[in-house]
Amino acid sequence: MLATLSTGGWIFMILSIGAVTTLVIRCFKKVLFPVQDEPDLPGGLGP
Amino acid sequence: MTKQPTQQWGSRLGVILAVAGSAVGLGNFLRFPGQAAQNGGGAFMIPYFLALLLLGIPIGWAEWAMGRYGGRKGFHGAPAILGVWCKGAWGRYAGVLGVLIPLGVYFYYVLIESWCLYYVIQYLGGGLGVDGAAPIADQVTKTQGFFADVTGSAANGSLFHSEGHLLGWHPIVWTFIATATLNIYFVYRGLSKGIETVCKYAMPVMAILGIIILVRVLTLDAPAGTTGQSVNDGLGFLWNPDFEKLTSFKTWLAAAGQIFFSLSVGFGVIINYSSYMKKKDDVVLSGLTSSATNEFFEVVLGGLITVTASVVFVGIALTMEGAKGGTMSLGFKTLPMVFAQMPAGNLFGAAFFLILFLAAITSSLSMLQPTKAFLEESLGVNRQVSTTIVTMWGLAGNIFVLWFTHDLVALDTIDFWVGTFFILVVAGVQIVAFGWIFGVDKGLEEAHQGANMRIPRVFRFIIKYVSPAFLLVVIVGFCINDLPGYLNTLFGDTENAADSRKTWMFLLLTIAGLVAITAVGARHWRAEGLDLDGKLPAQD
Repeated sequence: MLATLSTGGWIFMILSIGAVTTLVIRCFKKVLFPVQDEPDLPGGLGP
Repeated sequence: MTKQPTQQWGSRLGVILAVAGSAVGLGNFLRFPGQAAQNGGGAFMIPYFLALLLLGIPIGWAEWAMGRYGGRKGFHGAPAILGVWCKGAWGRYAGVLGVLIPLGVYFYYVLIESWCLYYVIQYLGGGLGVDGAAPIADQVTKTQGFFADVTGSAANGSLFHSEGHLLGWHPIVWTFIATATLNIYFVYRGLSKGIETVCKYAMPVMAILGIIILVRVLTLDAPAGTTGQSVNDGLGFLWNPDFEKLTSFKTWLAAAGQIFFSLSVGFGVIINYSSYMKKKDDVVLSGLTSSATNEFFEVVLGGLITVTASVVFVGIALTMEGAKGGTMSLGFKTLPMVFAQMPAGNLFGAAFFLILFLAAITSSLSMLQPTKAFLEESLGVNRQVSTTIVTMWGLAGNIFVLWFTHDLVALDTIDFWVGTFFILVVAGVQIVAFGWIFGVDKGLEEAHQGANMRIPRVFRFIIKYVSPAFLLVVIVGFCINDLPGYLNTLFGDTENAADSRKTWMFLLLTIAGLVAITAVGARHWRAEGLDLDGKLPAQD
């Protein structure tokens, strides 16, 4: 009953692990380095 | 009623790791690979990810939003919060299950946790006594005997009549006492200094140890004189897709069940944890991140380590048998044979069971907090009193399970009814309350308060129609597949049936206590003018 990893197996494994790893990295990036809101500058400032 | 300062999380990362820590448990490493291997391998991931998108993540978002909304109204326990969202007493009493589930699961979970610690100690002290060079049948007998001895499954009370040990107590009892003390200590320290601190350290340690073991497993050679199978065969066994299985209802049910129980939605913990968050906190990102973290431990570490190593060392037949036997079988009976044959097996055995122990303790620590919060807000007792009551209550349950160990019937009964069936019920109540009673638009608006990330519009339709329908199918399928067996056990005339009924009596006493406390709480909340029926908008 030997069944070495087939091409289909590789595809499913890489896609699943890749999807989960990408999701977790993206989420933690957003949590740890949140995008700061633009500061509200009073009118008249700037060039 | 004593008014106490509200507890708070130390940081956003802290609450995310605490929720993820609560969700990551033994099932991630042991149940997931077994389910995948039996239900189509790689093809199993299609219904699995669909269930994640249509069931796990949406119900999780709903639970996070419900908890925070309840917290803004001054409530932290599931009964009061569900009373608000369901706009009436029925939600409050359905919410009792949201306290029963974590408390009831705690009754047996600490015991499993102490098994993991016991295995760690044994591996550090020279192993379990399994000879990796012995015929495989002898190894099976040895590991099964070891597990039966540790769990006391031969007879009720056998762990307290163990010859040659201090006081006649089996060493697992002392390990249990150490584990329970550790739990009580951290619960006593509170939300931020206790649970959050443990999870902040334990989660990265688990990830690092997991990655080290993963690298070791993926670089294993086929050992001479054993199965002759390679890592590629192990991975193939788990990941090669069998599309025929997708036509089976059982596969879809298994995928939905795995997602559901793995993410801990409907468990009563997320609703309590998120009630300590503020209006400006982002529950959408926090919910998604904790789910993603749980998935990382499950798919990446669970999907690559256990079954792969098992196939290499003990072959497909024994691995399949272990996987079919469930979480306990694969973890505590099959894997010790793997470590017995693996070079530096004692070291890797200790590391693996340490991961399981950390996964278990980050879960068990979360289980007393909902009851603690519920007691404080219902009875008006202070934190010390609530912690003392809840730890005594938990300890009573632990001792019950530790005594009634014959065939692990007590543990199995609580696991099925409280840790499985009631979770489906609570999740059902939550998604109906969020999508239909409170209203999906208002609910999503509440979820978006303070969120940098918006829930995609399609989830409005998913939360209102797809998730409840999907959940209903899961409940019906689950009842058809699993309920008859447990009902037969409960109403039979065997010794196991009698133990099952005793366990139910214990559970009924617990439920009666929780219902009575809810009734007392409702009177207090009404007298204090709190909006317990959810008729007013939340205050900030």
